[in-house]
Amino acid sequence: MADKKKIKLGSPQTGCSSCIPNTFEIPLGPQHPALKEPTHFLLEVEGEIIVNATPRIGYVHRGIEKLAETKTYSANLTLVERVCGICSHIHSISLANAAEAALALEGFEVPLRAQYIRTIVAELERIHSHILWLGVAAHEIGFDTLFMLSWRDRELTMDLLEDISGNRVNYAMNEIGGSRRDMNQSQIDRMLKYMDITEERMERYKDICINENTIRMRTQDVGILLPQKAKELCACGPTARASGVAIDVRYDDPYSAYGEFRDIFNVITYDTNDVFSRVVVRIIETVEACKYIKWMLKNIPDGPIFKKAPRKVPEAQILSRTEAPRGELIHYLWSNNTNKPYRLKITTPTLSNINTVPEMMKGDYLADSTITLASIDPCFSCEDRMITIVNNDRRKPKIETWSESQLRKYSNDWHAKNKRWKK
Amino acid sequence: MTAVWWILTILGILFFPGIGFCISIALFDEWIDRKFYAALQDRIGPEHAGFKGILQPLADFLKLLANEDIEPEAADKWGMRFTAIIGLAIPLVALLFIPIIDTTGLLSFEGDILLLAFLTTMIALIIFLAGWFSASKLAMPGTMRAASQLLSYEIPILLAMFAVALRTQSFSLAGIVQWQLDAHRPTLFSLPMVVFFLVFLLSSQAELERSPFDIPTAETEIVGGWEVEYSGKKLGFFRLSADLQMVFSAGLAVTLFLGGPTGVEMWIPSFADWLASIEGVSGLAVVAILYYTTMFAIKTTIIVLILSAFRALMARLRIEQFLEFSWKWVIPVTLGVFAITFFYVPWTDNVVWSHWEGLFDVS
Repeated sequence: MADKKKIKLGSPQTGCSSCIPNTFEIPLGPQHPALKEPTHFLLEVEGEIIVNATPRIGYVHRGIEKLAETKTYSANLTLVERVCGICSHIHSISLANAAEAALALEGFEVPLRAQYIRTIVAELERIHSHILWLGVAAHEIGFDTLFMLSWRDRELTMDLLEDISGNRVNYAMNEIGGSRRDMNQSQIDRMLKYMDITEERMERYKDICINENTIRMRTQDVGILLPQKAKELCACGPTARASGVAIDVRYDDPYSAYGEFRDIFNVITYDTNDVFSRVVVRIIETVEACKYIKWMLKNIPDGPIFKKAPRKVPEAQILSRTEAPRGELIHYLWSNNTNKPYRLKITTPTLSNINTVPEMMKGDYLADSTITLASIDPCFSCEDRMITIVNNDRRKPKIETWSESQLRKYSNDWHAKNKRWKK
Repeated sequence: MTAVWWILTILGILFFPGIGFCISIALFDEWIDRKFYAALQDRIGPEHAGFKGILQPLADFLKLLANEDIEPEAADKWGMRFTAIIGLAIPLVALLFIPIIDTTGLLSFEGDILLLAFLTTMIALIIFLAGWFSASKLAMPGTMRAASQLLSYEIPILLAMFAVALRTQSFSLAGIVQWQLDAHRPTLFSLPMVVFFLVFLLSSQAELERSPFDIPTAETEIVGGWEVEYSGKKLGFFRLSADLQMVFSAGLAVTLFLGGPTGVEMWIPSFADWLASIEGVSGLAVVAILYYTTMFAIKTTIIVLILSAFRALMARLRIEQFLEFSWKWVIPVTLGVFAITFFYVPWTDNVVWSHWEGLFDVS
C-alpha cells in the first residue's frame, strides 16, 4: 500500500521505492502574487521542468444559483451581474436573453434599439477586458511598462462605460424587455472619437508584441495547446481560437444585435497554438471590437429602448449562449410560470478552459507556469459553482457532517457560552 | 598616524563619505530610479514624503524596521539573521573603496580591485545562502537561479574590471583614476573599452537582479524567490543592501570608465593644478571635496538612469534564456575583446588614438 502510494505521488515508472524521488511539488496558489483570485495548482517539477499539474478549484463558492431561485427576474439581472467583476454585462444579457426567449413564446419582442445598446456595451466590455488581460499578461512576464501603458489606455473605455451607464464595473444597463438607459448624440460622438484612439493604440501594442524580442522569447513555444487537444478538452473563446478552432457564438449563433452585421464579422484565429497566439488573437479582437462598435453607432435605429414585459415567465427550459470576453458563457434557465426562476445554471468559460491548463503546462519551465495560466484569462471567482471537500490531505483533517439541527444546537450552545461576544 | 588622522578616518567611515553618506546617496538613487521608472510608465511615482517623495525610500526602510519579523519554524534562524547583516555590511565595505570625495578612496591600496572583485562575488554567495537558510519551497528555485545566474554574470564583470586594469596598467582604483587624469580622457574613450562598459552595465543589471534579469526574485513566478521568507528588519536590510549595491555598481562603473569623481579638470590643466594646490589648505579643501562629490553624484545618477531605462524596456528573460545569452554571446565576446586588448591595444592605441589625445591636450 505504501509503495503504491509513493509511486503514485512521486515520479515515475522507473523509480524504485528506495530511490529519492527526482520530482518535487510546488504549490501555485491559493495565495500567489500572480493570481488575482484564489485557485490552486499543484505543480510537480523536475528541476525547472513541469511534469504534471493538478488543478483544484472551488475556493470562492458564493451560492449565486441558489440565491437566484429566491429572487424575481428583475432582481436576478442585478444578481448575475455580480458573478464576474470584469465581464458583468454579458451575464445580464445572457439571463435577459433566456427570459425573453421564454416570453417570446407568448409573442413578446424586444425593441431593436435596446439590442443595439446592449451589444455596444458588451463590446466595450470586451475591449476593457482584453486590455486588462494584456496588462496582466505583460506583468506576468515582467514587462511592467506595457502593463502600465495598456491600463492607461483602458481608462478611455472605462470612461465611456461610466458616461453611458453611470458605473465602471456593474453597468446595470439591462432590464427584461429592453435597456434602462438611452444614448444621446453627444455620447455617440464621444464614443466614436475614443474608439478611433483605442484602435490606434491597440495597433501600436500589436506592433510592440509582434516585434519586441523579449516578449516573443517569453511567449513563443510556451503553453502549446494543439487544435485536436483544444477540441477534446472543450476549450472555448480566445483560447480555442488561438489554437485555430474557429468558434465564436457571436458568429455561429448570433444573439442581440450581432446578427445585423454578420457579414462584416471576422472570427479571429491564429495558428501557432502558444501563448503568443493568444496575445495576438486578443489584441486583434480588440481592434475588431472597435470596428463593430463604430458600425453599430453609425447604424443604430431610432425607436423605443424598452417594452414592458409581463412579470410571469411562461414555463420553458432555455439554454442561452453568449460570447463573454473569455469564451462561451451558458445560462440554463428553467422557468415555471412564476416571476422567479425555478432553476438557473451558469457555466462560465473559465470552467471549460481550466482543463486545458495542465495540458499546456506539461513540459514547460516553472517560470512559464504563471503566464500559461494567465493566458486563458482565468476568472476563478466566476467559475465556482459548488464545493467538494476532498479528504486526501496528507495532514488528515477531521471532517464531520452535521445536520441542520446539530448545527443549530452548536450555534445556540456557543452563543450561550460566549454571551459577551455580542457586545 | 597621528590621533587627528585616526579621528578623521573614523569619522569618514561613519559619516562622510562612509556609511552615512553612502546610505543617503543609495536612498536618493532609489528615489531617482523609482521616479524615472514611473515617468517612463506614465505614472507619477513617490509623491508625498518630502519634496516630490524624496523621503519615500527612507520611509519604506523605517517602516520595514518597524514591521513584525517572522521566522519560519524550519528555517536556520541564526543563518537568516547572519546573512541579512552580512548582506548589508558587504556593499558598505565595498563602497569605502570607491573614490568619492577625492581621487583616492577612503581606503585604498595597490590591488584593491581584486578585493572588490571578491566582494561582488561574496554578495551573490550571501544571496545564495539567504535563500538556502530560509528553507522554503519557493525560495529554493530562486536560490538555484541566483547561483546559476551568478556563474554567468560574474565572469563578464571580472573581465571588464581586469580589462580596465590591463589598459591602465594599475590594480588600484586610485591608479585608474590617475591614469584617466594623466591621459586627459576617461577610459571609456580608449579603444575597445566601450564594449567592456556595455558588458559591465549589462552584468551589473544582472547582479542587481533588476528586470529583465530579476529572475531569482521573479515576483509573479516564484513569489519573490530567495527573499520570500524575509520580513521586517531583515527584509529592510536586504532592500537597503540592494540600493547600496546599485550605488556600488554605478560608482564602480563611474570609476572604471568615466573618470571617477573627476570632471572638467581632465581637459583644463590649470583647473587641475588649482585643485591640486588647494589640497592641503584647510579652508579651500572643502571646495575640492564638494566639487568631487558633486561630480561623483552626477555621474552615478546618469548610470542609475541608464539602468532604470534598461529596466523599463524589456520583459523578464527565463533563466535558461539568460544562461544561453550569457554563455553563448556575452562571455565569448568579452573574452575575445579581452584578448584583443591584451595583445594589440597598447600598440594600436598609441597610433590611432594619439590624434584623439591631441584634441584634448591643451598644453
